[in-house]
Amino acid sequence: MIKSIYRCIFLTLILFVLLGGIYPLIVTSVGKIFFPLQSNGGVEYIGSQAVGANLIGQNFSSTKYFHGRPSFAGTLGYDGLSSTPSNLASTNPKLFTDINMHIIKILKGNPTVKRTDIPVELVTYSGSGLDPHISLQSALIQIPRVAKSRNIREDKVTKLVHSSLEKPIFGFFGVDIINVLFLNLKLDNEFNNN
Amino acid sequence: MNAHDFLFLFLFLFMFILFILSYPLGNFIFKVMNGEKTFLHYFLLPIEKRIYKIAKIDSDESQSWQKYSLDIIIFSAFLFALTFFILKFQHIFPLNPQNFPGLPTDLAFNTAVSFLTNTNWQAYSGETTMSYFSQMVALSSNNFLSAAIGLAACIAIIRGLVQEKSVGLGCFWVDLCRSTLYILLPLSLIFAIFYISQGIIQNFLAYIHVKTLEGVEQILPQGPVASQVAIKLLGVNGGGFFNANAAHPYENPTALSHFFQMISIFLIPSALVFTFGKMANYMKHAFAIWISMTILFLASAILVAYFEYQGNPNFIDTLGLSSSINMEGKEARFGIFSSSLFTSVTTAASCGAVANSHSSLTPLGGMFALINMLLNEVIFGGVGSGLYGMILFIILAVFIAGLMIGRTPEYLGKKIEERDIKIAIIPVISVSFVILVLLAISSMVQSGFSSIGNPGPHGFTEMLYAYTSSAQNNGSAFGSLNANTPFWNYTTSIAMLAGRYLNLIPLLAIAGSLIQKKKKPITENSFKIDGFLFISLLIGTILILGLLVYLPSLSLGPIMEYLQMTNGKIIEIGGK
Repeated sequence: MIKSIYRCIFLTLILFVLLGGIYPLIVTSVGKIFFPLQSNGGVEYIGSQAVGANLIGQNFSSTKYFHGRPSFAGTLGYDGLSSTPSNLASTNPKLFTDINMHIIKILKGNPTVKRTDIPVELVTYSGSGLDPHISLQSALIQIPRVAKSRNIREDKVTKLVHSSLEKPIFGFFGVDIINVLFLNLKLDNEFNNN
Repeated sequence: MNAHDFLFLFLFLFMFILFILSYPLGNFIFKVMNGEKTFLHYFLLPIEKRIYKIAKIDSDESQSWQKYSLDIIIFSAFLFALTFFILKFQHIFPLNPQNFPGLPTDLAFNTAVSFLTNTNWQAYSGETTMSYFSQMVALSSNNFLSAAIGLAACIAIIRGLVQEKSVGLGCFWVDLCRSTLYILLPLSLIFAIFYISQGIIQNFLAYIHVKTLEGVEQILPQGPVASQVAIKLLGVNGGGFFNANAAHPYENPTALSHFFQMISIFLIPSALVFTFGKMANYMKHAFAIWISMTILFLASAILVAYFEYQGNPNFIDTLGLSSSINMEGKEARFGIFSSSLFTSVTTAASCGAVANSHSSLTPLGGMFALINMLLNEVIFGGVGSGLYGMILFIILAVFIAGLMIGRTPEYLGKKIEERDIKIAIIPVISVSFVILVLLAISSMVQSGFSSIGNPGPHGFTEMLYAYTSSAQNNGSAFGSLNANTPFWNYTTSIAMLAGRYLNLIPLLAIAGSLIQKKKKPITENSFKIDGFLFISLLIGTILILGLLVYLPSLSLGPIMEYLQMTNGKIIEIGGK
């Protein structure tokens, strides 16, 4: 028994140093050397100002930007410190009032769009509250609004949307998606009419 | 071509990759646990020897089942105490750039139990509760060690089945060291670096403040995530670095990382089946087990995906959308099929990492996730615990078959006697007892049901899911339940401890009894433990023993909710 306790204490301490100290430090060093951008959060800059991370979605409400999915993270959505899904059940009335609220917002902002045009994912809360992506269809229905608001031709925006489309990896893993932050950065970059 | 159009091809590819990775790994584990030389011994053998020297471990020792169990308990108790201490007093440790205070006692207790028992039930939100030190040292080490305990115990139990008249089941400390050093650690390194390449972060920076395009401040949490995510999946632990777990873009950034996270959850449990075949020198039997697991898994994967595609008819009927697929709580980059596949994988294995909201699954999609757990976590299951749980069912199946044909039941040439069966029934009964009794209490006590977050039958399912997940050491949750209250922190802790040790120790006891029995040669007259008949018998036993007792609860929860969702309008909002 005493022998077991002795073994237990020393073995645990050694393994804690190895698994909780040396192992993560090796991973960190390798990451820093080979993948410095990814391991440090993938932060995007304009000049010296950090404007976001390539993997973390942001709130967009202005008419001149493409909008992402509804977010349950924080009171305003896309709060980096409150990642969470809504956890609303399929039978919870709030699920339907919330989705309907998002639908109405889209209908008001995009007069050309009908309810049946709206993909489900654009009006439902994401799993993390920080989902950076939307589907192609979700971007397409927003083109008239963005073009009008920026006073540019729709086909130019359409071209930009299609150039932002991320295809499944190796044509097999995943689905067609568009990173909303990247798309909006491109918009600002190309049509610099703030 | 994308995953949607090729669901079956995708599932086939998934199982194929799993097989070609886990079969050689199974051989490798066999060698390592047997003390044979592998290519890793050049670097790691000196370290292993040094550790034995410092900790005064004799690598040739062989322990009785009582000694082996006692050492597991001593080690677990010390691990618990150390983890509890770090969490409770995390403010005095370094690497705490956000200056988080120590955890409240009930939460520290719950979290320490949860990571010790390989459950990783989380009543906290990582990015606003845990310092980097707590995540990296306390929780990550536990991820390794709880998986290693399971693996060590599993190998010891197999030794009991396949060896005869040997002195003991092996040495716990040696098994623990070997599974950590040669198996978990190298695999985690490889996966962690792959994850970083996909975009999982790994740093010790303070949280980054950015100014979004619309001029609002957004705070991005940072941390040593990749190293923890790698072991949380390989060790089938499932405890997320962030609150959103594997749905968080920093924890699971691409569809490719998503795919390999699913593979790595199943990897070791699947490999252990082949290790068993090798140790028993009966590969056909191992394949029969693997195929049974695969059949059960594919059934659940197809069912969950089917119900998520069917989705919520009210999206069309009430809201006037053109599609009813259930994207609520799912991430766009994974799509609906991969998301629901992750649900099946994480609940079939006792992982509990979630890449989409389980609470927002359709009622029946959620029910099949629940059933995966209720079947005692044997569909690949946890590291070690999945296979020894399966061995328990095999012993029962063989016993039942023996009764049917009126012959003394035998398994791998050893007689299964009255005492063994009596012990084998302890885990089956006690786990359902714990789940159902705690469920009954929480349904009656204000401090229990007041944590419910959704109205109607779903609220009941939340509580059923919570106790199932903790007692079966899964750790996923219907997140709408507010589990961070003293009532829930302590009751789920009881469930987790019962689920872990009331499975592990009875099985060690059976192994201890079987190892003393003489092995009869397997002849043509022996009951066949490979082939179609055995597979059907095994699956039948699992379904009947595992599921029957929960049918009343399932009809009160998910089935009732399903009827509610499909019959009539839930709310009138004039969408159409």
